[in-house]
Amino acid sequence: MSTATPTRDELRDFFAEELELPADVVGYEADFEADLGVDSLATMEILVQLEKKYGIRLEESEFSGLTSVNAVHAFLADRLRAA
Amino acid sequence: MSAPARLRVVGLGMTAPGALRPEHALELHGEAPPDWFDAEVLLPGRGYRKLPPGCRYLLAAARSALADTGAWFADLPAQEKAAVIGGNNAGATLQDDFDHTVIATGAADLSPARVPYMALSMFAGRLAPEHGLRAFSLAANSPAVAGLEALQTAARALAAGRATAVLAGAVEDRPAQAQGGGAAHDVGAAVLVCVSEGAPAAGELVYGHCSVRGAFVGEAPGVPEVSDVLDPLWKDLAAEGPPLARIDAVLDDSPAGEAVAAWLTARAGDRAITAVARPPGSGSLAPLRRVVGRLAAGPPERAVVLAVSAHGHVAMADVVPSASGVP
Repeated sequence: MSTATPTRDELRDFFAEELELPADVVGYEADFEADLGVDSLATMEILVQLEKKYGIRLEESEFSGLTSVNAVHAFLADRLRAA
Repeated sequence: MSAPARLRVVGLGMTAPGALRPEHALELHGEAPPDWFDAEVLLPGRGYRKLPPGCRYLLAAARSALADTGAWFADLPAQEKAAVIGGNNAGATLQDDFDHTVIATGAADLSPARVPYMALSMFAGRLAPEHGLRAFSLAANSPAVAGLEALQTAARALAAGRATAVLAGAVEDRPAQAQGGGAAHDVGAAVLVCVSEGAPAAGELVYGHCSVRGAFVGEAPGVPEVSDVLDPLWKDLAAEGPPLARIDAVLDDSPAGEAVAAWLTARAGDRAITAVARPPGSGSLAPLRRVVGRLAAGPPERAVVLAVSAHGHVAMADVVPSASGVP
């Protein structure tokens, strides 16, 4: 388990792996739902994997803002810095 | 005794270790190499990696079976397409994994993509969005006979006009060791694309025809003798059609299995019998593999595939490959 804040590239690679997409398709600002076709079930799956990988717990109210690599990166940086 | 509904098989798909094509379905392999299922070859595309293994086997088998029908199946209206899938242990390992996760770290760590498959009907249900099936999607769950019973249900549904084409099949995954699993248990999937006997030709390819009879034998008070139950079915089956040349019997060493084996030995005459031994509680794929194999690779002779569960359920498939005299 890693608690260090990932770089944006590391996070993009994580999402590319989870979404079964080439890394260059997953832009930092690409909207998971609108641009990458991620449905609600896939979103839940990714968030669970994110929790496991970075040793955090997400509240349901936090889900809605995590819509892009950049948004998740900023969120993780705050959360892991505070831990 | 009324004759069972018959169906015509216009597509075959087989996905199992050592049997990645229907013509290899009669070849049984013990150990499954860990990399036997090459998803890039058997199920290319996005969105499958998180699915339980059994679901991937089933999707691959269905895709392969539907390739036999060309564009015909895809062009049917969704409300005319259906699926009936048998299984027994398809979700066993998954349930074991869920148990370990809940005990170790809690339910919040369960995979949302896999949790729906706690319901075994999801394995069959996953075919619906994949291939646009809206007539119905049914799951039959029981040891040994569920695959053949899926064929039986498909034949009845087709005869009743509930669908134009039905994907009938079986899917299995080996139970975990703690659940009594092992190399003798089924793993993989088989799918048959089935249409009504009376329907116009679905395409150029017709593998053959099939019907399934079912019964119950056992030693409980009030349950008739095996011969009293099975003799009428056997007589009915042998009464018409091409000569019955072969019998494939998928049996375990339970009292029910041994009773049916003894009955079969007394009734088989000079017909060739292939006995496939399975552990009690094993999957429902082995009998359906025999059906697929007889249609795709066996000699063009009429065959019976018989399966018995330790609980006493009997299913008997009458398999008539296309070249054996029935158009």
